[in-house]
Formats: sequence, C-alpha cells, structure tokens
Amino acid sequence: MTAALEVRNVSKWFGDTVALSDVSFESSPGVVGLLGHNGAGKSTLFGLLAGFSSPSQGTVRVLGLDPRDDPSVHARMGLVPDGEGLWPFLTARQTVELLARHRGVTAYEKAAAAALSTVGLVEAADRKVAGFSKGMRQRVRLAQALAHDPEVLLMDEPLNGLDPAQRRADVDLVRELGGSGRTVLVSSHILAEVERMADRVLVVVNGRLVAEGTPAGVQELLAQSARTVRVETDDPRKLAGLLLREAHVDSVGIDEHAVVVHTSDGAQLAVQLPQLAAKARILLLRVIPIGEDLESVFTRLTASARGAGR
Amino acid sequence: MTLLELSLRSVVRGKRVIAVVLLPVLVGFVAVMLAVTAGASDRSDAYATLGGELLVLVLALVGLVLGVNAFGDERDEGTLGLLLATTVPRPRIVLTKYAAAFAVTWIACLPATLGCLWLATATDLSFGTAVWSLLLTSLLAAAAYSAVFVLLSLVLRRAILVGLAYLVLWEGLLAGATTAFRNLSVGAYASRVAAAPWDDPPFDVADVAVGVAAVVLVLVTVATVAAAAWRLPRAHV
Repeated sequence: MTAALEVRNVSKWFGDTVALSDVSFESSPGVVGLLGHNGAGKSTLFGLLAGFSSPSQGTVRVLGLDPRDDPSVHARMGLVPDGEGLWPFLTARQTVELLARHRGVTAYEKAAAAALSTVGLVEAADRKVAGFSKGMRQRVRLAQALAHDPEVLLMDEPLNGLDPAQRRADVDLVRELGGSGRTVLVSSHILAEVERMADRVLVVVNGRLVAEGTPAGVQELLAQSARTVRVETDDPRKLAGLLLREAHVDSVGIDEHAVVVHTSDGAQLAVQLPQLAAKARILLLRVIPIGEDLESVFTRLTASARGAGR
Repeated sequence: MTLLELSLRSVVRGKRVIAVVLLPVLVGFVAVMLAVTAGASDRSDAYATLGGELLVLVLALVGLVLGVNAFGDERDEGTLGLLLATTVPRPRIVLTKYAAAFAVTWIACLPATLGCLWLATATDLSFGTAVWSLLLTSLLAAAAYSAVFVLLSLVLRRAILVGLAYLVLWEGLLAGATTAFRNLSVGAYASRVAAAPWDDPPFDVADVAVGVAAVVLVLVTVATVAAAAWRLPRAHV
C-alpha cells in the first residue's frame, strides 16, 4: 500500500529564498506532527500538498495523485489552511455546507450538521462568521475540513488562537481522528502540543527536515547528540577547568555556583562527571540536565541550522 | 449555497456597492433630467455625451470596482485556500467568479443605460437603433472590462491601482489623444457600438465598422477570460 502523503526530494524556492530544501517523507496512518518555528517552511509544505503551488524540484503525491493537477483529490482530503480566513458574510453552516457540496458530498446538509456538532458549534451554527471570535472561526475551519469525511487531513497550526480548554479538546479530536485510520498531518510551533497529538514527529528547521521519529525517539536522538547540563558545585572554577580538557565538551560557562556544560556526548559526560569530581575532591551538589524536553532540543537544532544555513 | 451564489454575494457586499450604485444612478438621473428639460438640439448633444462616452466610462469604473475584488478579496481574507480546496475544476472557479462580476456590473449600470435610453427617445435619432446599440454597448463593455479586471485581480495584488492607471492612462489619455492607440482601447470599440445611430459619430471611436467593433469586444472578452482560466491553476496561493 502506498502512503497517503508522499513527498520526495522536494525543494521550493521563491526567487532567492529557499523555503524548502530537499524534503522527503512518507506519511503513516495516524497523526504525524510537523514541528517548526514560524517561517520554517511548514505552510509552504501544506501549500504543496494541497496543490496550491508546484514544487521547484521533486514530487508530491497525495493518495497517489498529484494535487496540483488533480483537484478531485480534495474529495478525500481535508485542509485547515494557515490563518483565519472565512467568508464573513456566510454563517458557519453555510460555509461548511458550501465546501462539503463542492467536495462531492451529496448529503451535504447532514454532513455539515454532523461536522459542526463534532467541533461543538451547534448553537452558533446559523450566525454570520463575521461576529465570531478567533476560537469560533477556527472551529468552523475545522468543521469544513471534516464534513466530507476525508481520508487525509492537513491541519496547519489548528490550535492557534484557541483558549486552553479548546486546545485540549482539539488535541483529543486530532488524536481521535488519527486513531480512526486516517492520516493526519498537523503542524505547530509549540512542542508540547505536537508531543501530545502526534505518533510521529517531523522537525523542520529553515526548510530542512532535521529530525524524524516518535516524540520519544526524537528526544532520544537529541539526548545522544549534543546537550546542555547545569552542574551546581562548591568549586565551579576548578570543575570548569577540568571539563574543558575533555574532548566531548564544547564549551563551559560559569554561573554563580554552577557550571553550564555544553557537550556533544551526554552519555560520556554522565560517566565522567562523578569520576572527575571524586579525583579533584570537588563536591557535586546538583546535576540538572537542561536539554531534556523537545523544546530545548528544538531550540538548539534551530540555532545550529541557522548557523549552518543562510 | 453554490459557488455562483457565493461569488455574487462577495461581489455585492461592503460599502463599495454604494459607490457602484450611486454613479450609474446619477448618470441616469442626469440623462432623464436632460430629456425632460433641455431643448431639442441640446438633447442630441447630450445624448452623444452621455450615451456615447459617459456610459462607457461608467461601465469601465463599475467594472473595475467589482472586477478587481473577484480574487482580491479571497486573497486578502485568506479564503482562496478554502475555495481551491474543493474538487471544482479551476477553470469553472474562474468562469463563475467572472460571471458574477459581469452580471453585477451590467445590472448596476442599468440605471445609466436606461436613463440614456430615455434621453434617446427625446432626440430625432432612430429609437430602434438607439435601443440595440445601447444594450449591446452596455453588455459588451461590461463583459470586456469585467474580464480585464478579473484577470488583473488574479495576477496582481494591487489590481485596483493598476486597473485605475490602465483606465486613466491607456483608455483615457493615450486612446483619447491618438488614433493609433484608439484601435487598441476597449472603450473606443464600445463607443463605436454606441455610435451606431449616427452616420458620422460625434465623438471619438475606433476606426472600424460597428459589427467589427462588437466582434473585437467579444474576442477580447473570450481571450481574457481564457487567460484567467489558464492562470488560476498556475498561480501560487
């Protein structure tokens, strides 16, 4: 069986600006999280998958079809585009019905009603969208992506503008959609969200796919590579001097009673640190790994990619 | 709600509709006033000015205001992505948007067209010729101008400014000043059709027969709409 989303060696540039650089991945059923800061190329990737632009190089396939050439793919694909765009003069129901109808749903009234109830927009369904809050607009945009019961869902920052309760509800909804055999690609610049929604994470930095795996796997990948550890000690100067002689230590910083160590090999540091301290009779008060969560991993990848690129 | 209904509603919304309605109503009102109050020879001159020249300008301006929003609004409000995330063949999206802009432009200009028709009855020109030439002028000019501005709205972000510059500089100044450029102006062909009741048109028109002018306008419309239909699937959204 071919993957629902297939991106092969895709690059996209606008003039001199490279938005995506040699990105390849295949989706798997379930939720795939696309993690990246604003401007990393997430929306460009969604645009390519939705057929709104052509890749400068490489191929994009959705359900085996080229979305640029074949708009019929939208009958089986749901899209929540970036931003908050909606026709202000339509009601929520009109919007969802219109779009379901033009994606080949014959019973579009029923489908729209069901989708609106899924996203919790029943009472406000017949009000004009112009008066809606950001969160309500986002629910309409979610509903239109669900109404035609698509096999593939592309959601570009679907949690933007939602309050915490709505965020939680939508995280659950995305998980549920992914659990029902659909392929869901969901982007975010917030790591905690992606971690909670996705079975698999793709990390995009400056248009490049820099890491890929389960949320835990991505963490592990990063733990094996560079990380930052804060060591509180009674003699930070002496410890810093000793650590600097080690090959795996990239740099050290002294911060009051602590040494902040940047290392390329966290595992080796964990072994060496107690040995060094014992030999030099330095007291280790606390060892705090700073690079444990995806957030810092992501920040560091971003920083190194920035340093390497542009 | 169909795509055509959506397109029609997005054309007629907002404050711009007031401006779009006021201008033709004003021209129509002036035409009727002149028909009622002016002397016989003045009425003929007035009809030449209003029915021949001003009507085409009104159609151009209304066509501009309504046409450039066909895709401009969708892009500004971020709804183009939703519109394109449908199975509707792209040329049909363009045709529907165009049909809405054209229909509303023609209807919005009816007060001016009908006012000029009233004025025509008060002149000694052939009424039958005045009727068909006015209706044909309004239909063909609305069709051609809408097509040009819908295409502009698809290609450019600042379609209204470029469209206005096109009307003032190309259609107005260049076509008004030189005969060579006159035959390259939509307005001059439309005026040629409007000048059908006169043996010798009392205002500047394209240097062709009435039938040829009508065919040129139809061809310009078809070619421009086709260009827009070709362009949408290739546009970057």
